[in-house]
Amino acid sequence: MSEQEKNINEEKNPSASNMTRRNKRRIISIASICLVLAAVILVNVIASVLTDRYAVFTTDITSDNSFGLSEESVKIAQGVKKDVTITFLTDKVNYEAYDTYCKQATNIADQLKKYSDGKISVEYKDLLKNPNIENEYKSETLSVTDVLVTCGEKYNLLKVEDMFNFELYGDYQYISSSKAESAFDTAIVKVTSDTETKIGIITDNTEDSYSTLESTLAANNYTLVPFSIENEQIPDDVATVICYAPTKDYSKDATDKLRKFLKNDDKYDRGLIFIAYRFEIECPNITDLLYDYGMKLEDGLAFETQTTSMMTTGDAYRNIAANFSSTKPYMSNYTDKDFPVLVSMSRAVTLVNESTTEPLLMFSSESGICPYSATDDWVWQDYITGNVIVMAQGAAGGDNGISRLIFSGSTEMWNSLLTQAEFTNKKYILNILNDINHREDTGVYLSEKVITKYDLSSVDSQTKVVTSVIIYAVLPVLILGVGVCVFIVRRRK
Amino acid sequence: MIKVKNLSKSYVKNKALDDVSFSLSEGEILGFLGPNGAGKSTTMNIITGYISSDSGTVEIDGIDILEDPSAAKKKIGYLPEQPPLYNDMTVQKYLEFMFKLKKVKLPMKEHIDKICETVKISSVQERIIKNLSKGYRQRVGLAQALLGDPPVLILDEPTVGLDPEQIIEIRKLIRDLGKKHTVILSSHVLSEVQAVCDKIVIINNGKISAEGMTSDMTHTGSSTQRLELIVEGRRQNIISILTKVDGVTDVTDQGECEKGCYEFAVDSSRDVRRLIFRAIAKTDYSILSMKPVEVSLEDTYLSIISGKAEEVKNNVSDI
Amino acid sequence: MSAIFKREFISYFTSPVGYAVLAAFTFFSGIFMWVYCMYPGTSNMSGVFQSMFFIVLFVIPLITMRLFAEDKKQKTDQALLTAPVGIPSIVTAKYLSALAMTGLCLSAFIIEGITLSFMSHPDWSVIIGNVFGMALLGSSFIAIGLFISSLTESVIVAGIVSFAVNVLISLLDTVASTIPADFIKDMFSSLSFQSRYSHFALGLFSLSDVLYFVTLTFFFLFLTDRVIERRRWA
Repeated sequence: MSEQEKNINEEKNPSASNMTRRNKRRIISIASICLVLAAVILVNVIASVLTDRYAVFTTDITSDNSFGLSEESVKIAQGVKKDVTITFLTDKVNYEAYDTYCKQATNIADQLKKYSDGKISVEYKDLLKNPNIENEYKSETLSVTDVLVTCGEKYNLLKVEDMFNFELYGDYQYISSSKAESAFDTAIVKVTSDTETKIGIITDNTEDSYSTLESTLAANNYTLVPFSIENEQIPDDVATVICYAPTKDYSKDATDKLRKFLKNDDKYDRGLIFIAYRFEIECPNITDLLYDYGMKLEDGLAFETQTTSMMTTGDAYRNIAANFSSTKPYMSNYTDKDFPVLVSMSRAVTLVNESTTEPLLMFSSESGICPYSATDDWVWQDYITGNVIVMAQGAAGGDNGISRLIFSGSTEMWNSLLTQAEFTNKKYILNILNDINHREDTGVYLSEKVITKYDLSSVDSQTKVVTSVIIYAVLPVLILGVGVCVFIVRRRK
Repeated sequence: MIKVKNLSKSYVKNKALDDVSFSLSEGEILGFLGPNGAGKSTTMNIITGYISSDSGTVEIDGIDILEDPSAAKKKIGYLPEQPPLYNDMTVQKYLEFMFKLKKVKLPMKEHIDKICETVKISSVQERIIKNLSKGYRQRVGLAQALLGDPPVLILDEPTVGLDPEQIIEIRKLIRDLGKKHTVILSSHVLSEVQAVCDKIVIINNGKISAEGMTSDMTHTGSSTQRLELIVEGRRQNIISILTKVDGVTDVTDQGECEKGCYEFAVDSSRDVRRLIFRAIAKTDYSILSMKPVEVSLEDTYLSIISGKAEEVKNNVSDI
Repeated sequence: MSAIFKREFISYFTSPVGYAVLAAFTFFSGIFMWVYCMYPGTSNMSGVFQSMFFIVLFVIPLITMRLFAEDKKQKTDQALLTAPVGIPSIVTAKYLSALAMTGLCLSAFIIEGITLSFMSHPDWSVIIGNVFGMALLGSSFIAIGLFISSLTESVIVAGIVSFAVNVLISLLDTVASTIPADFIKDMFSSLSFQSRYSHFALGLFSLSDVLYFVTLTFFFLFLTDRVIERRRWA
């Protein structure tokens, strides 16, 4: 078509070409916006999926790698072969809102997930919205700040004190550092572990519950095998037996069985833990057994008068902090020497054979034993003997190995007091059990992570104040001053 | 040099431009006339690429403004109705900015100084634009249009707001510029257009009403020629005779000048001198004086705008 | 394009805006420095960065509000659009000038970091990372503010609307927590600027977060370009 014809054409249909050109433009414009929007959304979705799944897409630029995983953790995560679930008992937003350290903890959980190639998953189930979780873990007291690590039937409950270290600032308790990474690692190792050590527990005449002990042990791959010493044989695959607060004496047969068990055909290497019932019982056989291992069972309950050892002032028998009596045994790897073990309503022993026995836990120099026969008008000062032994160990053995009979005077120490956060009952007991059963402490101990280092406390406050004032007062005024000057100069231009 | 073809542009409410076409050769100065709202600024905005037309094309020196907008814009210097000045800059800084914006390749300092001299703003080069008077601001606007020596200058009411002395200066300047540039100039001031422009386009309601060389439009003003007659005789008869002459559109009685002699203004669509002569000669009235009156552009303009005359399209040679 | 950039940037300092913004930024970051670093005695600037999120929200509309609105009002957009420079160049140049201005404000953090380093050993990689994170955040707010500025002729309206939009964005988290439907809640939190930014404040850089801000910036710059184009055709 020649120019002229084209022109005429356009002239003839000016309105038609008007509409098309503008509408065409409009359509192209809207289409391009939609296209770009779709592309942007797509890119973001892909990026978010990748970031979530693979750890390589997240970098931690903090110099001490506060948010990253240490090599051990990575190895553990990569080595997980079973399905593990980490469940936070509240929403992610709520949990992270408590403290920066909490954010770090969720981050660590996420990273563990990323390195596990799908084996570890992280969930957030608000305890308040899912009360049925409490039913699944009846022996535990769950709280929204807890974290559950589960693998099949096995579980490990991580409480805040397991994950973080607290310090006091006046009345206010704040998190000073985090051991969340170790806590997660340990929990993962434990729930995925195949090792299962059996510990026998004698049920004859046992009235007290040991449910907390059982769940604590289960969380550390120990299974309690209850049996009756009177009627049954001691199970073969058991290297440790617990006598849990019998309210009556054992028969001679029973104690002989225990002696034989400990001797183990001269192979030894066994453990017997005798946990005393708090009230007076006639138990000549038990007393004999203890005596064979160098310990004399004393009549009465141990009491404490030093107020610093009492959790409740005035209550001399309950909740007393017992001190470790020496640096060994069980102490060489022990990291919590400064935190005492809590003991309650405890009987006591005295040691008759210095060479084969050792005290493990003692009361202070202002303690004594109140005999069962004491009346209301007894004078306690007369009964102060000091350094009352509430837990002791007698050993027997030879070159092949050593068997130990551990006497513990307090039942509560092994059950209800296991969950007290400020005391180390759990750790201590596990320490002992691990030692006897030749189990490596499967805990993973990494250096604690500190996000907020209070490193300016050494700078004198005057410097701090002056510097601050310079920044928030002097500088802005200077800037505004420059502005005013420029303004004045330009007025005249 | 400039070819505008079939430009149309409508806004939601109205049709701003309807099939506007005109063209301009190199070195010509075009005067763009029309009442307010006629579409002058719209046309200029489209030519310079500020807005886009709905249909039609604009070619600057053979370059289509839609196909290669950058190249086309480089050839244009535009002074809009409100000069696009940055009030917070000094004149010098502003011109330097516009210089770089337009990607001018000449030596900056000398070029700017030369233009400032031409437009006579050298004395205020270091002042902040906000503090300048309207006249100076207008001139700074003109200066920016001149940056880069663009072959095409489009000036929208360049003399508005200037005092009479400045106006004369600017007109002279534009005439000088016209020698080396192609200029489109819009104005309300018809005498200015008449004085400065080679060619005139009259636009009304978005349509071109008239287009032609200035000389043509003022002398042989398409629809109006005017004769001033002094005739001795009977007034009424004279009027009726004159009115009956073929080609006469209007007869105005201008009163008695001498005893028995009356002045008339006769408007006609073509040259009717001979016919009038013969018509009066048939009677025994006498024509004492007959002279053509220069029809001003104003008359042409007003009559076109009021729609009395027919459209005239002179043959404009396509380059 | 660099001409436009230079012009816009310098004009921040020929009007009160540049000084007011810089002074406000310095002032607030100084106050937060005192509260979160000097007073408790730590060189960890996380608290400062987290709090400055809100200041940035307020300050950036001041920087962006005039970028297109004023041009339209003063008719200087005619100069820009009739010049041989494409619209994407114009948008990018204005964006960069706002970004540069923001960068200048962020240098306040660097100064504060240097101050801290005289007293102790702050974790510089975190500080740099945070500044970078805040730059990303700022970039997004700038792009949004620029877009809003291009929609109106009034500088004040642009400022107020930008500010309102920014506040809305920061409320996403709060709004999200009230919504019962988990799916929508997740979507809202993934859109949340605050939670993504808080990752940067702690020292965590993830591909997802960085890309989010980058694509958001790009999208709004693209929209701005469309708006200006549309004006020519309307």
